[in-house]
Amino acid sequence: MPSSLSSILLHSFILPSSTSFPSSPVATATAALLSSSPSFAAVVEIELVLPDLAFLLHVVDSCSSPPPSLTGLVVLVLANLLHHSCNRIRLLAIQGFGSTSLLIKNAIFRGNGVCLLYREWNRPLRTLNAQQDHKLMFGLLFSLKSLTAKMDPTSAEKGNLGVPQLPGQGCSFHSFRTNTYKLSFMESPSGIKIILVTHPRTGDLRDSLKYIYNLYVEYVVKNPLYTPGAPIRCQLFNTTLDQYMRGIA
Amino acid sequence: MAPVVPRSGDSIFANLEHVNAELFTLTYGAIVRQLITDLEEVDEVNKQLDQMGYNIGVRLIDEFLAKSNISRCVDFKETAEVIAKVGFKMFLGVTASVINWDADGTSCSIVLEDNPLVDFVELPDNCQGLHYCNILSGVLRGALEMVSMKTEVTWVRDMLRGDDVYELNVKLLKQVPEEYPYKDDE
Repeated sequence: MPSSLSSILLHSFILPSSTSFPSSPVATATAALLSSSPSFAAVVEIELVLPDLAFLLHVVDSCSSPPPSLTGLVVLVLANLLHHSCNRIRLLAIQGFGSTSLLIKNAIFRGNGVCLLYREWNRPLRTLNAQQDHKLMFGLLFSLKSLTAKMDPTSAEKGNLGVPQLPGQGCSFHSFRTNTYKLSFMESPSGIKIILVTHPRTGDLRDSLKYIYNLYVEYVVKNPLYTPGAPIRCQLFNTTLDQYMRGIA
Repeated sequence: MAPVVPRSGDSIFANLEHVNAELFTLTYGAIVRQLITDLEEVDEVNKQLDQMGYNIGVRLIDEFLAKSNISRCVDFKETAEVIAKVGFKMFLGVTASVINWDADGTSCSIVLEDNPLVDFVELPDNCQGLHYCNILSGVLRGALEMVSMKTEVTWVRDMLRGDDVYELNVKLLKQVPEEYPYKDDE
């Protein structure tokens, strides 16, 4: 099934990428496609949020509720297609049955809590302001690390909860999953923490995290204009990271 | 843990890009030469080399951890073994050995039989106080500080001064674990 739907999408969406291209025809076309597809028969509503820049697709009713993985795949295909085919249009959010909100965001922290880099790809919801968000994230991970190390049934000695630990010492957690997202985490012994927030159906991302750490070493650490501990402003790093993330998304 | 370590040092070294060893040696020699001309005081040169090494070490540690995939060492003994067998092998292509552990395991000596930095070098009479390879002590200090260990690294034996090997004494001063940086009431 996925291949036929994606082939339908491919055929219908070769849009010209011109500079002044209003979003409504695309929105209508997307809606029409989803409604007419035999395996994804759904009533779709379009809401033009910002006329030139975005539209929201609401899957209001679905005759046969598709399995979440299928919906996820449709979302992915749509996202990629629309993004590649028309520069002025980007998918901000899709709500629907099953867990279809595609949310990929990435954050890199350092030991003293300074957020070095925060990038998002396809994040629908904006919560607190950025500063608060980073503090929250850092605090959460710090506490989780401490907790997981103290609760380890196989470790011999346990200090009191709240005693600071060396980075990487004791057992370390690498991901947690809720019903709407999965957070994958990696910490190096030098205190660099890499976090990826993805779709809950994502598999083990430890290799990706290691790859991102390698990218960090190649483009940031070896950059003589970069001061260790400062926020990352290396264009090359951002570009390569972008390419990699779009490749695995 | 020990059996894994020597193997990975060689394989990583083989996979990295190599630069001409003589170019590296001569470049380092030129740096030291220039520092001596600029600063004139041998102690100043030693300090400056140490500082340069520190800056290198702070960045080198990430590259080391990324390429060698080594997780946190359990204690200082393991750290010293990893430095000698994997670290030196990976970056300089030489294998070092660790000797002279003291009673509580906080101080040891890393011995280098051959050192690519000092090929073709002879110390003249007016530079006898110079630690030619002081950059290495800075690198170790910087790298270990990024993995939350405050150390003191000094030269014990130096072939340029007539000894038979290069010996670095690494002393662990303290472990500095990560602290929560934000105040709780914010």
